[in-house]
Amino acid sequence: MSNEIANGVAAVRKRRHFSAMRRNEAVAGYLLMLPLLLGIVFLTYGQFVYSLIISFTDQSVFGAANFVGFQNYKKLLTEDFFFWKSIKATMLYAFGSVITTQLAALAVALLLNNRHLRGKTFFRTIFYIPSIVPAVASCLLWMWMFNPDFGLFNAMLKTLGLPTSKWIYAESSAVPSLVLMSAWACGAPMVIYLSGLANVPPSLLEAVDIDGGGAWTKFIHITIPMISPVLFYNTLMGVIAGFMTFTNSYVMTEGGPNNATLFVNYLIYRDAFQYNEFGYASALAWIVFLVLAVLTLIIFRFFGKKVYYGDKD
Amino acid sequence: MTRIELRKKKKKIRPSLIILYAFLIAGTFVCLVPLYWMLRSSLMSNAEIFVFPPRFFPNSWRWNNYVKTFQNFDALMYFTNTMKILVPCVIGTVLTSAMAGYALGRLNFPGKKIWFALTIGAMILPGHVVLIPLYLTYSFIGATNTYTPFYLAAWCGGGAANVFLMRQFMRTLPREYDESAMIDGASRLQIFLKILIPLCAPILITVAIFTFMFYWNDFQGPLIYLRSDNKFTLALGILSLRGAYASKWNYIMAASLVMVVPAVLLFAVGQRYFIEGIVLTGVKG
Amino acid sequence: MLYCPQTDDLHSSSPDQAPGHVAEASEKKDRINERKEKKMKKMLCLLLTLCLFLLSLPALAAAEEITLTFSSWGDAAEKQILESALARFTEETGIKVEYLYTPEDYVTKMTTMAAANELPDVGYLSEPIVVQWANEGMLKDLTPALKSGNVDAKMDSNKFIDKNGNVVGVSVADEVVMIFYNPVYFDQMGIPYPPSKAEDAWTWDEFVDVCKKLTVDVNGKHPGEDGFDENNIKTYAVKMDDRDYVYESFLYSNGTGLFTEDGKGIALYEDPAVEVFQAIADLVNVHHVMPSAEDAANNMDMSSCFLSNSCAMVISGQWNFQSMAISAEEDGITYDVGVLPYFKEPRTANTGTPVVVFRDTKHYDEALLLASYIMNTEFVMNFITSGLWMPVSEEWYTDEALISKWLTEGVHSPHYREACIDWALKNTHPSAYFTYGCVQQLEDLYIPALDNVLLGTQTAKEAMESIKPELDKVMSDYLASLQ
Repeated sequence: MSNEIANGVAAVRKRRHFSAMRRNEAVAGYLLMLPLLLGIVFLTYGQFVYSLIISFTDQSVFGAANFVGFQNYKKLLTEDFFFWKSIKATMLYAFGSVITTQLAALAVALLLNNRHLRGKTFFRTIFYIPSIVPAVASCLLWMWMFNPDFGLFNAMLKTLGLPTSKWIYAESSAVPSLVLMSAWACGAPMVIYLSGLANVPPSLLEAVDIDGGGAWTKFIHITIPMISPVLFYNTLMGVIAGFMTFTNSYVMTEGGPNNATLFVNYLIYRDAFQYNEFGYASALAWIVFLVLAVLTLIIFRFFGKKVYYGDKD
Repeated sequence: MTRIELRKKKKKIRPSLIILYAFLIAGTFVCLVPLYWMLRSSLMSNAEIFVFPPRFFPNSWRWNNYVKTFQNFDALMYFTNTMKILVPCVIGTVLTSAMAGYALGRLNFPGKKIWFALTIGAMILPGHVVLIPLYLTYSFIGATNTYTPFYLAAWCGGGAANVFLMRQFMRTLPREYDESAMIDGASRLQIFLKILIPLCAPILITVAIFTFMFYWNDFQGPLIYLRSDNKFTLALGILSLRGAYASKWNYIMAASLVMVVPAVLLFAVGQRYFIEGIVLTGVKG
Repeated sequence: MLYCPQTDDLHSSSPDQAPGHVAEASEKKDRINERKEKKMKKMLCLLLTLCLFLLSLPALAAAEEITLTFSSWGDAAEKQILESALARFTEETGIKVEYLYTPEDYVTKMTTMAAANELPDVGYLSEPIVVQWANEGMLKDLTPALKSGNVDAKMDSNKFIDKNGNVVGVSVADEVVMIFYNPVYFDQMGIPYPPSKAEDAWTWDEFVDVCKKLTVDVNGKHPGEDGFDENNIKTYAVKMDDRDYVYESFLYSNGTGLFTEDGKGIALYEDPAVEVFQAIADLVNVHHVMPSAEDAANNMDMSSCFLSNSCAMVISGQWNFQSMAISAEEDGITYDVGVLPYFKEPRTANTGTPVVVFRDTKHYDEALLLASYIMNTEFVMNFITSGLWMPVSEEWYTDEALISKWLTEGVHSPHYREACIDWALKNTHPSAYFTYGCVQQLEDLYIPALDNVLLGTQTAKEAMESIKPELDKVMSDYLASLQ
């Protein structure tokens, strides 16, 4: 009899202990999250809600705001001269730049992760430099390199006997040119890949060696899964950054030629601050938000499940 | 494979190593072109900069440009101001994003998924439309023309991207650490501070360096929130070299180059600490 | 400063500590209590300071010191000139001025401040925005300032008028468009300089002929000659900068403009405008005398063009005198100016950034006084003598004594008087910016549409037809907003 009671008491104690532990965890969780929560509520979503409300008005920053329902959204989707061209250009740029930038960053990171390489510090710094050069300077530099007459790229193409391009001066080649420019500044994602690669346990790689596998096996079965968390991060951030691109078209092409590089962020800026159509610009921003939300969900659904974390979740 | 065979395999890697070096050296030139171009432009006259075909060497090496650039430019004041923003913000960002990343990545609490979704959502609304309501918020609490907006943004999570990055990293560390520490009686917070932070040193330093670069080069924030010239930062001060109708590009290049150099040096020094992987101190494997 | 709680504060003891940690827990409680006490003390201090401050406010207000805010953009040199002008204002009137300097993204900043009701009292405003803002009630009437006698009489062509007929902005500088040319090159080619008097201005056809004589390819051949290689041109005859003003100038020259005579319709797709655009595009694709958008020559500064002999003439605005003067000193180039070629009548568009008084000002009269100061030609003489600005008062164009005050050797070239002063006085037509608030939107439509025309893949007629509905929509929306 006493055994049963003892067991029963032990069971209750265990349950209490676990629920206490869970409470402990929840409290710790919320305490640690507190700064972020405050930021999210007061510095982010409060303002998001404001702009969402504005998107249903015809506010012009200093005028009165009259509620117009979905008129702004309807106008954007059906009547706006620039909207669809802009969305297409932005998507083209975003996907193009994610693919090229991530491939470039990963490739360079892998190369720099080689055990036998001397001068890693030097090379890592060098490859990071393009991403910290001020935008003003790098835009000027690239305009020079893109020049069809005397620029570096066409000069190189000519020497190799390849056809030259009009780069940012022609509608069809403008966005790919900007994609190339974004790949050049792959230093930041490269650094994150390096951090991820540093966490790949050498024991696993040696195990492949011992089992007789080659570099490709190592890459596919060990490296990629082990860095999948940062791969996931970089891809998602790359897509978001691609959609939010602004400076390159604002400084270099002014949205041209013939609006080929009129990205959505530039359109939003122009509608909000140059045409003073704040409600309209907010509606455009929220359309972009929806598009990105869908894309993010897709990435999380399909890619997110495949990510291998070290913890057993 | 026997040890001898493994050694032979290592020796075979040589030719590919040479190709590797060749590629890296080519890449070095590609990446150093901007720095050289900034240098050569800063030493030319304004007209020379845009001449086609482009001149690789200035006709007259105008080192004087550097003197003239900083004549009207109170670099020391701007630098101090930049540091006043930068140092607290880097600390705040690293700290609060690590805290949030740890909570989102390793703890379970009700509503976690919602908060994570909100964090990601915070990144996908184009900033231009939030500029005004955010300014209104800060204006309401009387924080315009102060550095408070920067501090608040940094200390309240430090940006969704950093939180996300931290969360990814925190999730890669095995749970055994948490569990064994808890068995030893440590509280969650002690686990955070004493075990996970040292393990995450590489990613913490990464975030610190990225945050440094952000605040070092940021001119949008200071431009919108600051009014008094004596509170301006370096990045904003450099813009005073752009005129209404014409800019002195040689001075702009000179000032930009001077700003890039410390950033490059910081990275060169700092990267040893995080990429060398303090993580691999026998704890893994 | 509002900090978020430091990590230390998170060391609160949790309710389920194992018994062995009781001692630690009570120690922690002591520390927490200590911290609470400190916090309370801090709060009391803050409250006290706040009270004192609030009590002293009436005293501060009673001091009756007025401080105005003045905002502008510009580079460091311009900033200094304005600062000394503002200091002189304070000296002479006793009114303090806080100078808000915004080197970049000026309109974004002004718009943001407008949303928060924090606009400065007086300041610059970009031309495209002025009438737009005025029509929304953001700018105050400057007429009292103009009538007060504190300001020399301003030319009507430089006044910004809102929908109610009020003068809401006056240019601080007049700027016109003309031909800048490289005299050395003209001498080399044995061609007479562009005419500097409006009476002698080239017709468009004469202009094209001269351009052909000026353009040479790498083999020394001119357009139209056998063996002329249009892909290897060494020197172009002409290029055009700042297209919005240049296009406008030529539109006015052909008797048209952006808008129809009655001001209620768009003229950009009508024949006279199409003719102008096609003529300009033909310079590139038919006559090969002007570089296309992608040509290196098109992307060079004026001074670089003359330095490397890539272009003989550049059509651009008066403000270039400042940088050309500097280049003359640094690189030894020479430059002079001539009037524009014409279609029907020699005309230039004129423009000029205005000074305005913003809606939120609490000291209207004092703000008007400050605006008058900035508008006063004597006050901003440094900008004028450096070649950046031209005066905005007629007497400075006609009175010999005054002219000699601002004409500067080494900055203003030999033919300046005829090609700039007389030109600006007699042959100018105000840019549409002075009276319309929708110009920016129209430009964002028609200038990109002309990209294809300049590349030769579309005719001007086709391009303008393709955007006709959009242009009309902008106009009708604008007219509706004026009600």
